Amino acid sequence: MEPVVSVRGLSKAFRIYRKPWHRALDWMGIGKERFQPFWALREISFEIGPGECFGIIGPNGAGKTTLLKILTGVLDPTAGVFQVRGKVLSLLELGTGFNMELTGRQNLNNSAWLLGFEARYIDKRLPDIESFAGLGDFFDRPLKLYSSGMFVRLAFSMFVFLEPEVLIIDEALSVGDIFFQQKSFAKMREMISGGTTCIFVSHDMAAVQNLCQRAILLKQGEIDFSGDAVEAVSRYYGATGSQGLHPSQGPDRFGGAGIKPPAVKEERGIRPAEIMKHNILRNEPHRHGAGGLKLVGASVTDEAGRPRLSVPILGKLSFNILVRATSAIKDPSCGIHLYDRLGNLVFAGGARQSGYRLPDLSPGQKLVVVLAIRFNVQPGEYTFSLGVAEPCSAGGPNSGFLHDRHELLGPVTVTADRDRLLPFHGIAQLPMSLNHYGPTE
Amino acid sequence: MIDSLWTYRKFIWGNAWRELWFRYAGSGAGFVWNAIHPLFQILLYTLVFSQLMHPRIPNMPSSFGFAIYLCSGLIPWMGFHETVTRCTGSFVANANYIKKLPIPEQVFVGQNALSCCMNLAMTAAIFAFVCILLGHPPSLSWLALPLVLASLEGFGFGLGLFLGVMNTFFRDIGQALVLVLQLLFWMTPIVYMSSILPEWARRMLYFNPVFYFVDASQRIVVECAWPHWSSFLIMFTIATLFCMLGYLTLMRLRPQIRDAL
Repeated sequence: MEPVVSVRGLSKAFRIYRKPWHRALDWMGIGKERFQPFWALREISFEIGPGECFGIIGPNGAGKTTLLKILTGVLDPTAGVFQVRGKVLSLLELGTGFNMELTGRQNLNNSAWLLGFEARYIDKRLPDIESFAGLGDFFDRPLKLYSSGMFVRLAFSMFVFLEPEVLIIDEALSVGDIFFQQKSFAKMREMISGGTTCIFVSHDMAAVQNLCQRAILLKQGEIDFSGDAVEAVSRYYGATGSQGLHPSQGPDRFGGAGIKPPAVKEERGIRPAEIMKHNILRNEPHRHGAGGLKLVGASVTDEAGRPRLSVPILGKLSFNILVRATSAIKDPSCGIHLYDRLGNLVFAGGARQSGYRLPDLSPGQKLVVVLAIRFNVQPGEYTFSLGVAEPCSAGGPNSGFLHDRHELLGPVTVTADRDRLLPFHGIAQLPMSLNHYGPTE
Repeated sequence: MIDSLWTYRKFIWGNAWRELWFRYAGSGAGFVWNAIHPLFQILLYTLVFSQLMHPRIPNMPSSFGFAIYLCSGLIPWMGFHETVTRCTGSFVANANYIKKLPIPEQVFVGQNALSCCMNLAMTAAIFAFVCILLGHPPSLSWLALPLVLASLEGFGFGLGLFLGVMNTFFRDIGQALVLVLQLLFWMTPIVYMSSILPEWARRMLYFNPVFYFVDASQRIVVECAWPHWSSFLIMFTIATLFCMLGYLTLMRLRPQIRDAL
């Protein structure tokens, strides 16, 4: 089938001038060109077929927005070609054409026209938009009286009912109340199944995995990976988790998440060097504690021993922690706190709570502790903190003397296949047994 | 460029009109303020220069002579001033749209220029009305006034387009413009008459493009005479040249504008 969006060798360079007047000299062609090109995009190529939902992911500054702006015609590419068959609408434009003095209805007419739709077509769609937005009387009142939620509802309603051939969705969707969000997602799915080609740009990885079949992972303006959306997300986490910690290791360090054969786990357990290679501990800002016992490094691996930060629901991840004593430590404990996206503590536990006695340490000694956790929790993103402690002389059995703790690590993504029966609903799976008696007559 | 302005005519027209309409939104008199402001200004000048001060205009016996002379130069100048200033700022002011919608940049300049045009037209109409009341009824030659003002606005649009493009890269231009326009104002015979200038300064006037427009307007209003056809030629040439300058600059730098905003 002929692709709806095809992009070949697309590159975009911004001209960075050290002095503003260098630009003027360049215009006049005096001397050699003085700007430093900043390549926001380099040699991007992909194709999207009709009715496909395509994901674009990548860390901040990877070039996602620039790419979208080129596709919608706002920016011109420096090199390469792209072709989009049909009308493109992007949520980036959500509400930009709106005038606060006009009513909702007048604004719809005005901005839909701005986006290139015929007046007659808009008139035909107005009743649908009005009922979807659910603004009641406010639909005929000036925008300045709207709450910010109403504003978004109006904009989004317009957007979906104009039925573009290609729909570009970005973070803007995570606004409005939860009911409207759910309504919007349902509408989007309906559009996608109705044949609208969709480009989905998001940091919400669960949503990307959920909605998209294929995705590209952008990294510093280049395609780092192109293909299956699930793998792209997995690589995204591989890329962000170790970002910037080992600049000397070269591009290869991002490969660990998906393509390499699983590292064979040694019988003696995981080696400190291996932990350090995939270290996820970030530097100082979210770290505290007395420091007699230090967290040197930590890695997160799946059941096959591959470093990764995503796990299917009910799957297991190992948190491999390397600690070093700087003073004599008696009866150390090492533990983890797990928080959900709302900041609720979902689970905290360590050696002491589990009744596991770790060996005493003398200054300079190192120890690897492996915490294996089965994620019997609902799909979503979780952050965690890792810490080491000693029993506290004062207080009850539940207090400890904290030596070192790293906060805000992760996130770990717990994924679920929506097409299959979820093993449970709710925050977490509690141990449950079932019995039945009968049937009796 | 003209075809893009034509394609977006509805947008330009709608926004320019709406701007006049909503400039005084929320106030009781609303739209009427658009008329009250210039009317008040004209009456104030008339009062000051007929009752308090009496500068005399040659060949004009009426005590309102100087006030009429002043307004006939000041009104075109204010229109020009507003057009250049607003067009220069239009890319930066509309950065939000330009960065997000694939609308040609010149549309925003056009919208600003049109809104200034409407303002100027309204002020000129009020002025004509005041002139009747003051016993200086418009003559047939006033028919040439719209032509003069339109070419002045064309000049302002072209200059504003050029400066607007520059202003996206060098924001100092918007600031410097305030000073330059002030200088230009005093270099143009608006509050004084060119006859009081020494010979060398009078010759300098011919290098001031605004002079031709202001002079034509004063001639029409004060002397009730038709401007010389050559002055029309000059005015059209100036307007065309500046529009070309703005257009060529925009075409050459267009790809960089959105990157720089």
